[in-house]
Amino acid sequence: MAGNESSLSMLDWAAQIHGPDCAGFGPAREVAALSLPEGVADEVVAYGLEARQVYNGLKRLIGQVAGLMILLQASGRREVLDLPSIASAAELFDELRERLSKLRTTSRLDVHLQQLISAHRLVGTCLAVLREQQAAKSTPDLAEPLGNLSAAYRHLQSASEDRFGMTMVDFRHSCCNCGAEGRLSSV
Amino acid sequence: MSQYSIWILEYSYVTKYHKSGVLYGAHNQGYVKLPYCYALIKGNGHVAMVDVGYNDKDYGKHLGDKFGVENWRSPKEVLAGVGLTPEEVDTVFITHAHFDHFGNVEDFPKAKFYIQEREIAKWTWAMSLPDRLRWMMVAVDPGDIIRGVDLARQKRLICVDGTVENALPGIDLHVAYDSHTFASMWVNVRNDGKARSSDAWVLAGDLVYVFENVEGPGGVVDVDTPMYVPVGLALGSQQNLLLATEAMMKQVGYEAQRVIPVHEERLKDRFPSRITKDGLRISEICLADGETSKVR
Repeated sequence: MAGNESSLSMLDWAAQIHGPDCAGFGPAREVAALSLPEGVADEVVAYGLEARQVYNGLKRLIGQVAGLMILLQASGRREVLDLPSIASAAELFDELRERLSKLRTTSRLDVHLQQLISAHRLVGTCLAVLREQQAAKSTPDLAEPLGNLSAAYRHLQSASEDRFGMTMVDFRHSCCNCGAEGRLSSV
Repeated sequence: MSQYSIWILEYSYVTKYHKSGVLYGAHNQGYVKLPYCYALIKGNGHVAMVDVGYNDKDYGKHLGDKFGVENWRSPKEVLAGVGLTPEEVDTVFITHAHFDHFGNVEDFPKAKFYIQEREIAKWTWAMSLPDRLRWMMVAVDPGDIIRGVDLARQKRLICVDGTVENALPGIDLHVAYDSHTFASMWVNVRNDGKARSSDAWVLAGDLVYVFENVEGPGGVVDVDTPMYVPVGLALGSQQNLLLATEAMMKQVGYEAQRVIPVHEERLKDRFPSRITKDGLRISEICLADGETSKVR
């Protein structure tokens, strides 16, 4: 049933915010154009749906680690390292490793998978630094973990694919949503 | 005596934004043009910004193709309209962490940035939540948070907690918790420098999108007098938005035109303005003593 859930989730991407009759989508006959382009192989679709879960998890993890670093560096509050969010970040990291190990690609998607794996590895090094600092007394130099975190972000950014909902920012409710002009021509 | 000049600088826009996004309950009432702007404050030896917009290089094409965002211009091009450069900006007040407000810190190499600590802390918390709660991450770019770490390392990011009086002389920072975002800030410019200013301007961030948020039609509840109507896009509560609006209005002596919504296309109807050669608007809110107009 996991496949069904993923499929529904994929459909959610377009439909959960706006009904098919939303003016933002244009005339009803054009709603169908929001489905995936023809010619995408089933294996690619299957990979995309699963990879999206990893992508979104990595996005959250990178943001979470970055936020903890800001709080540590800018406010000097070491208690941020005792927050349950460190533990939850570690849990998410482990969950993503498990998901990554199960991702199956065709050869042409290997590069995409490698980007996800690299992002995961790099954010893991940053998380390790934060965990080590839980027992430390002074604020660490975050130069190296910051470099790794930036690299993790770039790897993830390069794996972005909006047809599968893999975007670094979710704009759907933001200050531009429903600006439909030009949108239909791109799908 | 006015200490500061204030301009609202448009850097991009979307021509069709659903009205219910800017005004709570305005369902099926069509679209409005939504300009993307930041505010520039100049005076007392400072050049300060309220927000910095976003950087087009990362997702400009995506925004253009998918959402109809048009005519993005860099801070260098936009600030040139008032005769300044990004390098001259020494202070930036980030009202909240959405991509179109916090998304271009790298273009201001000499500025010190202020943001509410709770805004960062709660976004960090939100990112730790299960994916099904990801709505709370809408419009936030983890890349902006990473760039914030770099600013913090350089001691150029100040995380503040609550109200800050005189962040610059005569300029106060205020916060509305759990409103548009977890800790959205507004900026009160007391232009006469007095504690009980009679010449105050509030730069509202996204706590107020359009004039109707402050002067909404009372008719919806069969009352003739205007009333506050919250923005449509909010992570927190409408109640908190309304109470923040009341606090802002109190600071400006209940002169609604002194609460400045930066996403309001009709600022041109209340303030002198002009369109630049790039097709973007500059609105001149007020001029410091001795400053020359940039729109005439």
